[in-house]
Amino acid sequence: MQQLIKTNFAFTANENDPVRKKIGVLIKDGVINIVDSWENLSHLSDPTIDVIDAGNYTLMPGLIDCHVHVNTSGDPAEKESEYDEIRFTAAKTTLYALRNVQRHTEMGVTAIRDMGCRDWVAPAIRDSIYAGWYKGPRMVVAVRGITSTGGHMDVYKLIRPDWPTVDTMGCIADGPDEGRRAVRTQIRDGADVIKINATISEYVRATGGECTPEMTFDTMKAICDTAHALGKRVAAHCHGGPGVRDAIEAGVDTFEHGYFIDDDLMEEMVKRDRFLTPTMSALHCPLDNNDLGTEPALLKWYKITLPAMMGEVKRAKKHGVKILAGTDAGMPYVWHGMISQEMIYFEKYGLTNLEALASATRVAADGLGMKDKIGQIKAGLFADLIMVNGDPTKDLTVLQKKENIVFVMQGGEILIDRR
Amino acid sequence: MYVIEAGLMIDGTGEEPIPGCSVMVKEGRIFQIEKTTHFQLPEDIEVIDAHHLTLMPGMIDCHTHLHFPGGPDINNSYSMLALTESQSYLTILSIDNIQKDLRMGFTTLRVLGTPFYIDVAIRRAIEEGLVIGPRLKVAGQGICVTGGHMDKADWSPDVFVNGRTGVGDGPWGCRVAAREQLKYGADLLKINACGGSHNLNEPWHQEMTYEEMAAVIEEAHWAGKRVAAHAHGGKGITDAILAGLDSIEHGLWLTEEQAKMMAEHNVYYVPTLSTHTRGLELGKVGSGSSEEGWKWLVKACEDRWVSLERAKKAGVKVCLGTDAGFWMYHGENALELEEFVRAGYTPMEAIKAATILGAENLDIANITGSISVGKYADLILVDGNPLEDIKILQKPNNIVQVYKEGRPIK
Repeated sequence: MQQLIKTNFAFTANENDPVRKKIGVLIKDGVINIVDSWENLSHLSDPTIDVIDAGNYTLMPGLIDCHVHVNTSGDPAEKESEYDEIRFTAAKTTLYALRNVQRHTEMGVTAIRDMGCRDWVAPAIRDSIYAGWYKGPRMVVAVRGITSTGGHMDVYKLIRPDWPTVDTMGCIADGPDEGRRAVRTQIRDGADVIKINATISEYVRATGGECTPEMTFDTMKAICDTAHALGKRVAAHCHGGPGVRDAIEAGVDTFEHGYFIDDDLMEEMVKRDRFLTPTMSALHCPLDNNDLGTEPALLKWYKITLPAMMGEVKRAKKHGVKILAGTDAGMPYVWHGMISQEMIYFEKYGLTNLEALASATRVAADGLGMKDKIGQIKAGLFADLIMVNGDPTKDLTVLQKKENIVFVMQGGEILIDRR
Repeated sequence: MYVIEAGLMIDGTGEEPIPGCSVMVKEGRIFQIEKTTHFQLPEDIEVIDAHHLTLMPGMIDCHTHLHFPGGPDINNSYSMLALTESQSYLTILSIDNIQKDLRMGFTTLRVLGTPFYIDVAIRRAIEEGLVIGPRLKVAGQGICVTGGHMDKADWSPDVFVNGRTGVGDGPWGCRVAAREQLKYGADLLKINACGGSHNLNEPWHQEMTYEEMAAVIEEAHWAGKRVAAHAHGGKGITDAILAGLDSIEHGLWLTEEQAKMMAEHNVYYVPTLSTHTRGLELGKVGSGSSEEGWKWLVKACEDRWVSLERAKKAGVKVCLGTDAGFWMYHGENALELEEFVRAGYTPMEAIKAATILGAENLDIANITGSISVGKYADLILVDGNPLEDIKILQKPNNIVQVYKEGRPIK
C-alpha cells in the first residue's frame, strides 16, 4: 500500500534542513520510502498510490512525550479521592489509563514513554494498540519503577507500618541482587525500558539541598548492567549531586527531572552521551495554575526547585546536553497530550523553536533508542506524521489547540483526519 | 506574649549568668533578653514575677525509652513488653512517662528504641497539639543484629514478635533495616555496636561489623539524619567512629585513642552515668542482675569515670542522657547533672551538657538548647540556684514552672 503526501511546508526534524518547502513524502507499507521535492515526485502516476494533500498545513513528525504516567490523568477534576490508587480495581485503572493514552493521539503525539504504572496497565495497553484493538500512540513502557525501601516510588511509606507491602507502581529492591531480580521481573512483565529512582526529594530537603542518593552505586550498576545486557535502556528519576554522579558512572541512559544537576555533571553527561528530560511541566503547570498546595515543607521545596528548574535547559543547551521533551503527564495539572506545553517552556527558558521541536521529535526518538524508527520525516523511518494548522516553527502555541491538529498518521494508518 | 523578670538568668551557653534579667517571649520564641533595669516594657504586657527564681533553658535528655516504666523489675521485663502489652497500652504509658519528664524541665527528649513506631506517632501527636509533651527526636525501633542487644528473646524461638526491633544481618540487611526506620518516620537511627560481656578482662563484645555500621550510617546521612550507637568498648567503638557515627551511648570503656578520635570526628558522648549508678544502688537483687551481670555492673561503675576523664581531656562534647525508663524512673532525669558534678564537672558545665550540647547532638541547636533570641522559649523557672546546688533540679517542688515553646506546662 502506497501513500504520497504532498505539502507546501514541512518541519522534517532532520538535523540539516529541518524546514522544507513543497515536498512530497512517499510512504510504502507504513514506512517512509522517499522524501523529495514535490517536483521530483509529482510525476508518479501509479493509480494505487493514495495522494494526500496537506495543502497549507504544516507537515511534521508525530510528537513524542518521553515521560508520562498513564494511570493518572493529571486533571484534578478527574481525581475521585486521595486514595484512587488503592480504591480503583485493576480493571478500572486500565480503562482510565486507556482514555489517558488516547488523549495523546488527539494532540498529535504518536509515541509516549511510560515511566511507571500500576497493575501492568502500560504494557497491556501498548500491546492492545499494537494488535489493532484500540487506536493510540506507540508506547515504550517501564512497567514498575525500581526503588529502595522508603524510596521515591515506595508508596507504602504512606500506609501504616504493619500493613503488608505489595508492589504497586514501585518495585522495591535493596541491593545489587534484588536490583537484578527487579530488572528481570519488569522485562518478563513487558518492560521496554527500566526506570529507577536515583535520588529522593525528601533527602534533598533534609540535607538542605545536597542531593544524596536513594540507591547505592552498586545497586544501580547491577541494574544497568542487567538491563543493558538484555537490550534495554535505563531512566533515572533524579535531582543532582552524588546520586547523579553515581548514576552516570553506573550507566544510566536518561536522567529525569535533574533540576540540580550542576555544570560538572552536565559535562560528564555530554562526554558519555546521556540524555536529560527536564520535565519542566511537572513543576511549571501547578505553578501556572496557582496550586502549589499549602504544606510548608513543600512550599519551601518549591522555592529552591522552581528557579533551578527554570535555569536547567539554558545550562543544558550551553553544555550541549541532549534534551528530551517529557511532561510527567499524570502529575497534577499535567494533562496527557500536552507535550506542546513542555516545548513552550523550553522556548521560554532558552531553546529556539526548532530546538524545542527537535526535543519532542528527533532527539526524543534518539533518547528512546528509536532514532531509526521515528522522530523525523526521513526515508526508512515509520510514517508517523501529523498535519498542523499553523506554523509551529514560528509559534509553538498552535500545537496547544486540538482543532489545529488536523491529521494524525501512525505507521501509515490514518488515525485522525479533520482537514 | 509575656515578659519573665528573673532573679538570675543562666542561658545555657556557659556564659556568665545574668542577675536581674528580663526575657520576653513572643509567639513561642525568645524575642528579647535584657537586664530588667534596662528593659523597656511594652504597654499592657503580661509580666511574670520571677525575681526570686532562676531562669534557665529547658533541658534535653539524650537517651530515653518512652515505654519503659523504670524501677527494679525492668531488667527482667523490658524485652517482654512488646510481647505482653498492646501498642495502645504502651502508647498511653509512654505519654504519661514523658509528661513526667516534661514537668521536671526536660523539654526535649531523644528516644532510642521503641516498638511499633509508637514513638513516631507520639512525636506527631505532640507536634499537632493533640497531647502535651516534650519535643521528641525518635529513633524508631533501633537496628540490631540477630540476637544482639536489642534482640533479646526470653521466649521460645518459634514465637515471632513483629515490630519490636529492626533486625539486620550483613551490610544489606542492616541497610534495609535503616531504610525501613527512615521510611516510617525515624528522626535518627540507633544501632547496637557492642554489648556487654561477662569476661571481665574484656567486658564488651562487638555486635555489628564495620561494614554493617557503615551501611546504616551512610543511609542515615543520605537522609540528613544522625546515628547513635549503644557501645561499651573495644574495637566496635573504633569501627563505629570510623564508619561515621555521630553519638556514643554509655561508652563505659573508652581508650585515650578513642577519646581523641571522638574529638577529631566530632562524635558526641552520652555516658548515662545515672542509670548505672541507680543499678548499683539497687543492688544485685534489686537491679535484677545475674551473678556475672552484677560483677559486670560493679566493674562498669568503677571504670566509667576513667572514660569520662579521657573524654573531657580530649575535648569530647558530653551530653546528658539517663536511659530514662530503664532503672531510672521518668522524671528523675536531673540525677545525671549531679553525677556530672560528682565526676568533677562544674555545675555550669553540667548545665551545658544538659542544654546546648544536647541540642547540638540532636541537630536542633538552631531552635533550642539555650536562651537566645530567635530560639523557642523552652524554659525552666527554678526555686534556688542550680549553680550553687545542682541537686535542686531533682526536686519537683523546685521546678516551679516549665515552658515549652512559650507555653506554660505546670
